[in-house]
Amino acid sequence: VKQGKPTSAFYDAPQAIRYTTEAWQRGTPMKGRPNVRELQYDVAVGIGPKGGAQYKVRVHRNERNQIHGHPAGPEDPISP
Amino acid sequence: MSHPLHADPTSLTLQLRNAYGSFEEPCYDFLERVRGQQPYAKLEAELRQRYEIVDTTDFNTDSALILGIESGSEVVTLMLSLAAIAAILCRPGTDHLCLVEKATTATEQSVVSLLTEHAVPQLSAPLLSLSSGITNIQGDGELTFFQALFSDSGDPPKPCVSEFGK
Repeated sequence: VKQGKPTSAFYDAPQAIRYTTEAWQRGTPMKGRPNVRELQYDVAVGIGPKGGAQYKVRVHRNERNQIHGHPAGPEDPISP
Repeated sequence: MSHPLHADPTSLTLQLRNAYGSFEEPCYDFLERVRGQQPYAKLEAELRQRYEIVDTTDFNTDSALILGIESGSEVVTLMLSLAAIAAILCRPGTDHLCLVEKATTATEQSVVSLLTEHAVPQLSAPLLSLSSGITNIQGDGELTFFQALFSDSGDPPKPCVSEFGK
């Protein structure tokens, strides 16, 4: 498998839409990146590039006001 | 990663191809490997001595180290490419970043002089918007130099406009 970008993935499409919308509405703007916001969750929101669970959602907005989100942050190993 | 960029578009595309190993954007492993080599270690160390630094790099979208540099209430954003030795300095606006072409504040001037000292070239706005010849790994289009070198989060930053018009 070619490990390309994006390197993190939500579990499914409906969750991706819900998390992305919510993280843009409630997330904290990142220092020095006014078009990027992040929101921390208590539950895993998706899988990171090393195969671990991630608990943050990062959302980017472009100049056409389109938003794009992905799981972010440190990865927790997932038990087999 | 040992040489600074020669900033003409054809040469840039070839340098990117050599760095990435193909005409596709870099994979996660490539970026992790280059970050591990710490190509900007000395520059970063000097920045950290002078300022509060917030690293917001995320390889889901970024091909560069993206550093928020804080000095009092001022924040500037420095992007240091991991595909070549090249940088851009940006100023956060309300919604988007703009490209600092002429450093006006003391912080901007100090960061620009550190870039010069460490032989890290700053790329210009027109160049950032040109097509790079590198394709998106997901197969949905060709990247601009900004996207290939720095980040595909959002659009290439436009030059900052000061109260004096430029």
